Amino acid sequence: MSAAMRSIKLIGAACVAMAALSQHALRADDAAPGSAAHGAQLASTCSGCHGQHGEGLAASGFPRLAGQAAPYLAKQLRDYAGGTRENAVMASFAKALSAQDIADLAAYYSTLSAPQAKPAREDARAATSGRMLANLGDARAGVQGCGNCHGPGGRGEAPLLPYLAGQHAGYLAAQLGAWQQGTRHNDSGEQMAALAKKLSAADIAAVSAYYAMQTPPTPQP
Amino acid sequence: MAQRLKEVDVVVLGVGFVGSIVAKELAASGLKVVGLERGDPRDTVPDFQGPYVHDELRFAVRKALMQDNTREAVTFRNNAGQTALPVRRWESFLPGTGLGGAGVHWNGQTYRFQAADFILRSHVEERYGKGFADPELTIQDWGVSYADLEPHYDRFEYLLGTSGKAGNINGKRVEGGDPFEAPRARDYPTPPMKEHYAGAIFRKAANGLGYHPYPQPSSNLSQPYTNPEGLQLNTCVFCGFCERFACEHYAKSSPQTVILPVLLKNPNFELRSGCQVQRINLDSSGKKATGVTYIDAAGREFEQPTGLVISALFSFNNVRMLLLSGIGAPYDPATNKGVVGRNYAYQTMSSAQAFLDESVNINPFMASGASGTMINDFAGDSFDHAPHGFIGGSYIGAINTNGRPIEYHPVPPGTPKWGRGWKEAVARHYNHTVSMTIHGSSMPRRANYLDLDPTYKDAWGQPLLRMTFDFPQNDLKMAQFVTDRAVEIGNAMGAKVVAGSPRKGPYTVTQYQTTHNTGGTVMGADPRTSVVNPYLQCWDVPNVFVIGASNFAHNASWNPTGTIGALVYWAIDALKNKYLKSPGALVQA
Repeated sequence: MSAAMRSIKLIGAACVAMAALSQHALRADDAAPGSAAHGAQLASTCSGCHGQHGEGLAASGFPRLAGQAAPYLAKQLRDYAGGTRENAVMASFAKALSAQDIADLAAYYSTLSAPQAKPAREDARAATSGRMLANLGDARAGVQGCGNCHGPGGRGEAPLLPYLAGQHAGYLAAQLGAWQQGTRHNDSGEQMAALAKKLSAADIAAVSAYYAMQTPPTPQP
Repeated sequence: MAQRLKEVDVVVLGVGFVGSIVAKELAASGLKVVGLERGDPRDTVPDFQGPYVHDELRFAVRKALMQDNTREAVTFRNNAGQTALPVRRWESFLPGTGLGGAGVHWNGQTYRFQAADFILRSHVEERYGKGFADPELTIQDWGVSYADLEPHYDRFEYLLGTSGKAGNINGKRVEGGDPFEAPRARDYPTPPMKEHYAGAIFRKAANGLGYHPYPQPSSNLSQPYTNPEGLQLNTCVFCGFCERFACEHYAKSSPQTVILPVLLKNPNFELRSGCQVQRINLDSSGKKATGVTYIDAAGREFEQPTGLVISALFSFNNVRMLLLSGIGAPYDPATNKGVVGRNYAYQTMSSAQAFLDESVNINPFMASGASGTMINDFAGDSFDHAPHGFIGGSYIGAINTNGRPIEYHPVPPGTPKWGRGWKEAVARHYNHTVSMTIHGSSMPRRANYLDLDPTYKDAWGQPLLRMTFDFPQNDLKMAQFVTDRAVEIGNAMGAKVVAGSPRKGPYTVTQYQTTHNTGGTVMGADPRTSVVNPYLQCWDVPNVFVIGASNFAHNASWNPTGTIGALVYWAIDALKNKYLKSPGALVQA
């Protein structure tokens, strides 16, 4: 294993560590292991917005779900239901789901692979300042690089840290706004809120556009 | 020939925790301050970012953040009958370098010493009688009291945002904190870190034995915090890469996160990195510093005139700077005269490992530098030493700072050192072992000291510092006693095997113990046994202040950084409110 690969794996271990400390994460065991087959049946409700293959809908800001880790997806559904992620539409769906339904849906979407909806044109600002922010951070703002938790290139660190690569820019920007405003506050250490508040609108646009241009990871078996 | 620069008000040697705090305060009071740092400038962004920063081989094994000992090392011998040799690879202790100093790669374990520590000789004689302590120990009072330092401990902890649980607020016992701590004026700025499972198991066992477990105070923070300088820190993510590493998350209190951004914005301050200070220059009387001479990274020599020098270096280098500059009489163990280099002390580190059943999952990789559960029942003077014949003690804690793959693989005694048997044992025990730290005091003895090496020189032609050190019998007895207590705690956890490793002599410099090297420019009220007065001002040269762990008259049971921080603010108070108003000796010898 190369030194770089080892580093990547170790970051993964670190992020697992953070995730394991989250009280929410511990609740993931409430349900039996998810059934992707049953999840596929339930997903007909979701596909109207999130796409037939979990590819999302860029224009409306509906996120890609395909290949996102199951524990992350399950936690988001619980958090919509619990109110730590505020979204009226998702809350009503999530509240109607049993713990087992949530596990099954999460299992289903984690196995999907969807083609990337590449932005029509490369965003020059994203290519420079967005890339810097994502991979190195911003010393003046006091913000660390996103890759420290979300993985090199934004490939995610399962089980609880989502991939950002290939995610729709509109969704990413909206989420950074939600962290800033406190309508999303579902991470255990308030890391996202703390750093989002230090970002300007231009920073958010650039880093969101940068990640939208990256290739999403393929699902892990 | 040195190029002579324009005079400035203050020169600070070393821009680590001590240097950056002193420089910030003096620059803010309107003085022109220059900070001389031998290493590189560096910051959280871009220097400490992942994945680069989580490279165990580079930072933990090859020690990339430490002093370059191909240019500047320390020589070592156990006793004066041996010839000291240079330490070619750091093992026992790991001196840092670079902007922020060791404050970048520390673990964030932030303690206060007990009140008895500052009056150690008086206290031991009063409680146990005059002949109780081994006569070879050169213990003494510090010339400052815990009550003097309390507001300054407080200020340092609030600068750092330290996460913890008080045990004694203004004399009132607080449940869940350390009952043996000296009174503090208020609680820690942030609540304790989350307890990891090893800590929970330790807590249960220690409680069962009637001890007093409490959460280790941590300057990796439990929640977001804005310090009195207006700087924001984030919550620690338990990444497991803390000591020997820099923090990518702005979650570890370091000069970079708690003070440097404010200092570097002040136009009264100028940072010069890559500058190797050669000596503090004195006038013809030898009683007044006129400036410092340094060599920059391009090899050019400069003389920087100044009216006030603050030596804010790592303990070794504070001692060496005075010896190279001819400030204070060098200590001579043969005659027991002289002061510079006297009372060098270390830390008496032992350990115990409890090997548990495979059904108990510890997850050791989930760690911060200072998330642990510990007891002070056998630390300092928490217990009656009369039956034991030694002074001092150790804290015991399940202080799991990492489970990194190259270096962390606990195996029980008797395991083969390599091959299949070793690999099987590592796989069996990695996730099922509670490792206990037994962190002990170190008493100075007459034969232990620091001086200039007669043979070996650094890359600039200056003599290296020579360490002459071995453990006092007092400390080895203490280590055995407290390790036995830790083994009992391990047994109470239900461990199948508990391996206690009490520190044994002779001291070896090739095995990692700790970088808590103290003493050599000891503070005190008597110039015959101290280098600096209680305000950390040189007795012999009043416009030189020396601040750091080198001021400790002995090393107590706890990690030194909290006490260094208290001494910094204590000295700043004297500088601003006494010395600058009326420069000169603050205490008459």
